[in-house]
Amino acid sequence: MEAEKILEVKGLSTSFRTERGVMKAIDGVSFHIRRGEILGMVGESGCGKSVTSQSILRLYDEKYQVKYGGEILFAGKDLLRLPEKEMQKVRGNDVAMVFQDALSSLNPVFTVGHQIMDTLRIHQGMKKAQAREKAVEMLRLVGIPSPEKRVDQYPHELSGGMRQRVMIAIALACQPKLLIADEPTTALDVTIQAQIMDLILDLNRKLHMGVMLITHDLSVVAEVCSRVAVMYLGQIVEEAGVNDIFDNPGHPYTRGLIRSIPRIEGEREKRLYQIAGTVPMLSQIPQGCRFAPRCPRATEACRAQMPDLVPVSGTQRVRCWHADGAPA
Amino acid sequence: MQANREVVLRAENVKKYFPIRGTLGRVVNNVKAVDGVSLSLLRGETYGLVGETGCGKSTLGRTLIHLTPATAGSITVEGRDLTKLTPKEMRKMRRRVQMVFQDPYTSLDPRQRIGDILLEMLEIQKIGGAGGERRALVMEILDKVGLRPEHFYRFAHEFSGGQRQRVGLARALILNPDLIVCDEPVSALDVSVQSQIINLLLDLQEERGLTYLFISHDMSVIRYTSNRVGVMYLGHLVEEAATDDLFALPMHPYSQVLLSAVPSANPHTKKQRIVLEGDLPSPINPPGGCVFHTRCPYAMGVCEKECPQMQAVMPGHRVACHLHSQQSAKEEPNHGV
Repeated sequence: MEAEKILEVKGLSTSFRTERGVMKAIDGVSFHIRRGEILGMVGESGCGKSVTSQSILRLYDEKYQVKYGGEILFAGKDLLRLPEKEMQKVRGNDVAMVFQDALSSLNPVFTVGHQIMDTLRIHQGMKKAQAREKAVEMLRLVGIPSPEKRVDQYPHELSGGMRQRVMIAIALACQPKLLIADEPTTALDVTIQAQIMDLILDLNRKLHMGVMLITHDLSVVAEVCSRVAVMYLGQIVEEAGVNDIFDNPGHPYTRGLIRSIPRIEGEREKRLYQIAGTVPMLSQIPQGCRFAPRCPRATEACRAQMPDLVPVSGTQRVRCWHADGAPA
Repeated sequence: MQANREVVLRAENVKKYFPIRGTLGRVVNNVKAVDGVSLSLLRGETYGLVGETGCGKSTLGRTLIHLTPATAGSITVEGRDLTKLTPKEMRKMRRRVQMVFQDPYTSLDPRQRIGDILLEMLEIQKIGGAGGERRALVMEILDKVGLRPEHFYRFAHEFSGGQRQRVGLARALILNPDLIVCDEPVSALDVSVQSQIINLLLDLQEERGLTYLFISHDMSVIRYTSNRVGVMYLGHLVEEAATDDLFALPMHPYSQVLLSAVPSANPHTKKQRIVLEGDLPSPINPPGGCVFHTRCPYAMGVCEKECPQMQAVMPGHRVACHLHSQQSAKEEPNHGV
């Protein structure tokens, strides 16, 4: 039996007003996350994966900068239509976020305990002593040794891995239904990355929350995610279960990405596979399929018209005119 | 690996300490960034140097080509000790040894056109005659790294990340060096661009017989680029082997940890991970004995007291670990590896 959908994003688009006109950073993104599942969102720089996550929490300046379209359904409400005051109750409470750079996301002038307590006191209305107790408990939960001592330390006194653990402790303090982790381990070493990923997996199982993991690293996705969405130039080009993505990728971009990862095991080819060309700028989005100029299988049809994200099998959806054909 | 290949660079017991000064500029302690590393680079090979943040791999790379002077030890290139050269002699030596940096944006002058940056190198080294000849050399090198002639007139900010790394490569190549130290040349790049730059590096090596010292924290990238690999931990080289040997049979506990932590791009393999306790100790007061003993799952009594020396356990495979040294193997018959 499938768990309930806790988040459903329908046709989300986010445009930014810039000096050079309006740029549509993401265009018609639709996906959902179920309770207890980890959805991986992958793509290269500039594909819109972070914009998608920040749009879910509406972190952009709506007055001057950004315009949203579509729907973000969370617990029966459309987050895009929620007044700011209501939205603030969602952020950090029902939906929490962990950012890439823990040092710049933590406030340097407050102790880490204070920052965890803040969330608890605002959202849960806890008293100071009670919040402090809970903060220590959270630090213990995320595997920080001697939490009674650490709770009174400042971010600069902790190592990079510890800071990321504190970020996770803050995010999880109010027991969110959904955790958005935006490149949580990119700045960390592999041994620390392994620790943090194990922690996220462990907490995901224990607390049964949904996780949206944003990363550029397909190997991390292979290890922890149950489903994957691949983004290219502001659109989802493929969405499938993690085994399908790696065993039977449907979109030429997904195939290219997977073939260009240097592998740690198995056959080692003389040269790495490379995807031709570079990601175009947002101001120069190609006609038709956005990947067509770099695609080895592009035909006239691809250059003329944009394909839809269509199901090719039970759970796999692909945005490609050639998706039903045999893989190249 | 043939044993009789020509050695391009030989480093012996190289140390690099950064002094910490207290009141009145007195040296109160040292950050022991590199603490007694010996290695040789053979002509035409890629030597991969891998390790985590703060292990001293970048400092070693810089010290080896004398971008920062070594505190102790000798570095021999073409029979001459770099640590004893005068600045003038060193400038001449720079033609032989060059560097590619991790972040090509901050390592390129933002106010100079790319062409001028490259021309300047030729002027300093007095290579080529008047403007015309040097210009032709620059154009040739731009073409080699996959840039177009019009890029000669561009500034660094006008390039994408991948293109900037190509410029960094052009700058290292233009003096036609024997050895290039590549310090994390692809870690700032996306996967698809990363594979382009790695392939370019491999092509250039084949064409020009270059020797690379390839510094990276990414084991998978090292596996694709390097013939031999050295693993560093806290300023020490702890293991060195041919790439396939190291990945098939890592001997040092730290190498095993490092390899087991790398996520695999295959959802079907569930790896047995060795999770390392704690954080990296400070290089100001590194642990006595073996530097890894505080976090090592196999630590024994001797590890706290004695620092293990690099020893060959197989031809071309050196390890600094008491588990593999002869006498301690007798004392401790059921060691864990």
